[in-house]
Amino acid sequence: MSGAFTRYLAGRVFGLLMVILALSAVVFFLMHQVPGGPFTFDKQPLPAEQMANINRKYGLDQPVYVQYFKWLWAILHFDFGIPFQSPSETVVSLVQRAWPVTIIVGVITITISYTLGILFGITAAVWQNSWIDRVVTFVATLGLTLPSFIIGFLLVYFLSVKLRWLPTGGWGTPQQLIMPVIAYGLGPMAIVARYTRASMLEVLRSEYVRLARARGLPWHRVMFRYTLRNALVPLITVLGPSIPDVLTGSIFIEGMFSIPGLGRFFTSSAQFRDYPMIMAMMLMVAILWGATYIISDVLYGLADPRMRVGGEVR
Amino acid sequence: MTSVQLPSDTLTISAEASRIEAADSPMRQSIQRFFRNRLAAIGLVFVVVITGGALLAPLIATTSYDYSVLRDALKFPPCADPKGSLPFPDCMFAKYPLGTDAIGRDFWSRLIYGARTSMIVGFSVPMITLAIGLPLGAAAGWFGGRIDSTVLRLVEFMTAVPSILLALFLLTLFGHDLQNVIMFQGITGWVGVCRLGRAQFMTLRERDFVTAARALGMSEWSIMFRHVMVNAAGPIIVMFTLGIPGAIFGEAGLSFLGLGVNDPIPSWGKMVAESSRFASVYWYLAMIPTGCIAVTMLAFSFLGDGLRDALDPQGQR
Repeated sequence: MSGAFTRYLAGRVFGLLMVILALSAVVFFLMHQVPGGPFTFDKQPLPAEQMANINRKYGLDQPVYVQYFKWLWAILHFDFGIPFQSPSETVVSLVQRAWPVTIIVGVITITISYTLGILFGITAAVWQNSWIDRVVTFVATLGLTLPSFIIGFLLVYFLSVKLRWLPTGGWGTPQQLIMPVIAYGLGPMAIVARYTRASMLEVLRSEYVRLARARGLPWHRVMFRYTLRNALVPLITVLGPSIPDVLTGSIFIEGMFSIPGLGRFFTSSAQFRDYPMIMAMMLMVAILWGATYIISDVLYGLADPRMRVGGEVR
Repeated sequence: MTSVQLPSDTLTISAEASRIEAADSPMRQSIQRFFRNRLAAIGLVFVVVITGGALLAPLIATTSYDYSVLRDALKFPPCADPKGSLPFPDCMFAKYPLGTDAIGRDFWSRLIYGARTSMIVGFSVPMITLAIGLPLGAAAGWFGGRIDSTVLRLVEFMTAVPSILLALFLLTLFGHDLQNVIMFQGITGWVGVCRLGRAQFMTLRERDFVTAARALGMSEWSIMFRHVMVNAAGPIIVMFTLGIPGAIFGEAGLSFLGLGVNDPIPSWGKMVAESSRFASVYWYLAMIPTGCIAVTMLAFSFLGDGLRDALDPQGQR
């Protein structure tokens, strides 16, 4: 069992590394292939000598494949270069400055939306077809279909402009977190609530729950020991993939509420042709996503013995 | 429920069901199921209205979407004018039924042409994803082996980074206009269709009617197109319908960020972004396109969900 598991895990990690290597090569060559460069300006272009100097300083005068291997070598030494859009610091320090903000928003969003989503899903399933169920289904549909920037705009309009309860944006006080978290969390909450409800209904209809009820076990025991345990396992595959999404920050939410997080660098890096920053962001996103997929698959195997690789029962 | 299980598992007849629905063809049954779902029917009505509005935009709009009269910038719509100049019936026929935007363009006309932008994106993007994803998925599922593993590698590669980020990256690098928004969303968004096609072709390949067709001497290609394609059509149509709101959302979001369609072509997402600056006074300027996006997305989602339930009664929600 453990030998097979280690081999499986090693295989997955190796696959992820290969994908990231391929992706980094494609992105690297693609961004260098587009005409123009980080120091090309339409108005007041730099003199040719100065241009050559800058290009030499950042190694941009070398062939692209040489640049790529140099970059790869530097990455292995945890040197991500200097962001062109803010040359007074390194990519690492810029990410260190901006990412914690995004992570704070993300962790609060995930905690609240997942907890509420699971609770709402359970409530809706237990009292199926009641008014609670209808309200949850309705809100879940809205959360699933409405884009976060639409929800964000509606929140700003009613809570800030009309009622003047909350500041329209910014960073630093807890009040400024409320609207971003709602706008951001409604989508994940809707997904979680919907899946929890479906999963709960399936388990509630199953024969072992019916048997437990028929035996006269108390309600809470049926709920916690038999139903919830089995109903929440499939959620791992739903909960997992939205975590990296939230952790890398939403361009919409951070832009709309002027949160100084990582999200805005997704657009600004590409706009400034900030090669080191683009590559760093790409690496971060790819590693986070890949790791989440692997972890959720492993957790699923731990929680559901039927899914185990190389397990004895097949 | 008594059910007769014939030797081949393709034919499971439920005794009750066959008595009631024997007269109706599967198509008729699907249509009936669809219209019994009230939300789906409402969704269909809205989809028809929005698509019709987009098609007939030149007839419905009062002026051109790019005709700007700076003198008339930020006019209130006649009905909402605080000075109360016109009673309700006249305001529909006023010069600016919904007022004007910040540079004096008729808001109503821009809204209608914005529907056109959304619909163009909404229908083209799923077409492209279908054109890329379906052949890949079908080939992977049908032939298996090395083709399958190559396609799977490609899928794994595409899922390493979320598609909207990839599209965003390509758009900022290669410049953004309506064409590129459609193209890049299509190029980055085909993974779902590919997976679905692969799964469909993989399971259908093992079915008895395929073996029968093969035994009758049908060529591999005609089995794929004449038999398997038809049986895989339902889930693919559903995927297409549910891809429309996704594409509309993508366009609205990209335009909201200023990376979508360029001026003067109107887009609802861009209108929300432009108008939200004036939200404290001209609240309707941002609220109306917001509502339009919301209604369109909901309508297409309900339609897609309804189609899924109608075409695939066994599938769980």
